[in-house]
Amino acid sequence: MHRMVATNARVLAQMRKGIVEFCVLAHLRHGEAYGREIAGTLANDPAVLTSEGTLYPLLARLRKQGWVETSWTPSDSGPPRRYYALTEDGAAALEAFTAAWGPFHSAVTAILEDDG
Amino acid sequence: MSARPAATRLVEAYLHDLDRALPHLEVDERRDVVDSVREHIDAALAERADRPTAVDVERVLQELGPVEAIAHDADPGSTAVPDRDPRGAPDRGSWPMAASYLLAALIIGMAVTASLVTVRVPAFFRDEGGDPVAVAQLTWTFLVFTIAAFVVKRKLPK
Repeated sequence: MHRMVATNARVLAQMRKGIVEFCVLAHLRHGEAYGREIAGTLANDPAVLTSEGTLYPLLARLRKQGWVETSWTPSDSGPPRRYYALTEDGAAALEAFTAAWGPFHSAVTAILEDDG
Repeated sequence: MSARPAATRLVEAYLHDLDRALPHLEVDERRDVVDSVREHIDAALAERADRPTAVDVERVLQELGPVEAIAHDADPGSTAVPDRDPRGAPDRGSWPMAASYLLAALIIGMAVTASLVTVRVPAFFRDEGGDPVAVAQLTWTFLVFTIAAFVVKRKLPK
């Protein structure tokens, strides 16, 4: 039998799967943003992004799924920036996640806090 | 931005390692990840200095995190946690150390069998003849050591 110790890092790593990508979509609902901008915000809390670089596989996956699209914009302070924006499908996915998250969060909290 | 050579080498090595750490992604997605990380680095360095130094690069790479952490998050099927602190220096886990010793042992094995083959082969061509079976066995052993060393070297984490 394969034993696995449920460390804090392991639990967080499992929970991030399938959730952090919606945090990226949520960040983009206010308007398009470039990678470092999104990374800087989400990596402020290591519970969400362990490091800035871990954002980029998520963005690549979201783009492949058609939930975000990219465009290039010149920058005053360096090379042109690739901006990410929500697509219609991305906005719909975010809406679905937001609708599901509230009841899910409440249900899990109720179970965790149930002291019999 | 015109980075100093040492700084450029650090960036290229990091991106090379990242690319190698993403074999589970399709080619276009892999290129997308590496390109966007490169853009992140270029933009971060451009904001820091006109001619970024190796220290500037190290800071930016530290914020990006180790390539193993990025590769791990690129694999939606994986639930394991990379055995290193994503914000800290890479640790020397038991597998890399064991693999290094194994590689060293295999290379020594290659050297020993190669020298034995060298001793045996000339005798084989003299009039009194050598032992072709022993030569074949040694050559075979050398080949096995070589292939094993090659495999271990490829599996050895950077």
